[in-house]
Amino acid sequence: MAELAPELVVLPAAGRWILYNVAARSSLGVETSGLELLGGIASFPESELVLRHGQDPFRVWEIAWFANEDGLMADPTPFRRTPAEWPDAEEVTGVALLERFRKHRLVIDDSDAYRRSLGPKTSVLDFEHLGNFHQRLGQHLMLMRRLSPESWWLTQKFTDDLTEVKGNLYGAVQAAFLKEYLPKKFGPGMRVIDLGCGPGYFTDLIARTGADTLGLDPNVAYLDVARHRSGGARFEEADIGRPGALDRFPAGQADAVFMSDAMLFYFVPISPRQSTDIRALFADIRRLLKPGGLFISMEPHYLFWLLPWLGDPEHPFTILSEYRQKYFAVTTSLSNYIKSFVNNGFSIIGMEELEPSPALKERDLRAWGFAREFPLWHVVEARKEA
Amino acid sequence: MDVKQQVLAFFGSKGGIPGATEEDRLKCEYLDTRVIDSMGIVAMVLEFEATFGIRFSPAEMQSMEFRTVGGLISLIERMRKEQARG
Repeated sequence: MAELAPELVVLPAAGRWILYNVAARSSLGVETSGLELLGGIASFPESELVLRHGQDPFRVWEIAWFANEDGLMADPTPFRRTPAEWPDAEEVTGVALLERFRKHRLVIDDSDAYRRSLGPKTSVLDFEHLGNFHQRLGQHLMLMRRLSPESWWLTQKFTDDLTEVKGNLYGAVQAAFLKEYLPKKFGPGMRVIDLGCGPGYFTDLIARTGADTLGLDPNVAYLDVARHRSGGARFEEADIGRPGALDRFPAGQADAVFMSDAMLFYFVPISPRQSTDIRALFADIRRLLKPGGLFISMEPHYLFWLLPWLGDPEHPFTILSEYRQKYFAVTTSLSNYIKSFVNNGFSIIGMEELEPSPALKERDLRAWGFAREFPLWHVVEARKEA
Repeated sequence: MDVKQQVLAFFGSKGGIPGATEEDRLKCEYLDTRVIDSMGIVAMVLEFEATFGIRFSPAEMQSMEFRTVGGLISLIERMRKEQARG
């Protein structure tokens, strides 16, 4: 029997309505008559609805879009927010609109099948299952945009020549924070390792503090870009996360290890081939650090990243639909994250949640409003225990 | 070479399609049987689009037809005919 999806939310949109399934991340735009038809599912047998309204005309808008099209940190709200951004309306009958409700999992017939549909994808051609963020992103990039996810991951963060961070949230929140934070933590006389340095942008910022800086990354192409930077950092290839890959680097050499936007992949792998042995990672970090050395980890916020940006910029709100058992978001719980330090020989000595720079308010009011209320990155400082 | 021969040649260059008979090979779900992997999909799509002068739509890539060797051949043949009709 047809029923409304349990995670259905209705949001106003300038005289129209956004029907949004928070769990399935699906949506549809309708007028009040369409909303009433949907509501009828809860009150009448579907056959009666069809009899009464099956041939009535309705207007419907396909407002869903791939929300992270512009980057990992772009507005993750999976629908076009205002009618001004909506595509042209489609004229459909009541019968056709009921089918649209089903297609978008706003109305369901079999709750067990619906629950299963929220599970992981079996392949890049699996469109029946929701899949997690990595899977949906990979499917979108490969099939819809014909892009290699590997190259996209970098270009969404850095300028085309990989030398600068883009002026999006990476620039206005993460890079702006690090430009002030890193000189407070590092300086002359210190040796710092940037683990998973990518094209070396943050490694360069660390080196400019005067610290003796080494960037390590498995990707040779990124290291080629990194080596053209002028901050004075050294760069070497290392297959981080693979047991033994860092053995050639002397033990106890570093005052600090820095790692950004990387630990999440140890909790939810980006591909089945990826090593996810977080104990091996921490063992390497411990080995590289001097006694009492500092490990600084900056990650996309494990609670707020990928949540929809709802409300207006001055009064934003979001809807949290998963935390301990995440099926879409690719982060772990904050307690699991903290335990990974504590259970592997580190003491947490500090944590900060990043605020956006005031300059972001001028460029992207919504991003600023959301990032100000719901931090998009956190940074954890941990000391190597004796 | 016609569409069928070219599609079979493409998968042949990836190590071949499992199956005792041609019917079995045409039914093969090339991704599930690991003839190509997920990363190989982009190269496959780009190669077929360039070779046959077509552009797969999102709906076509979401179809069951797209998942098998035989389905893919039928789909490309149909797309070419529709294109020829203008």
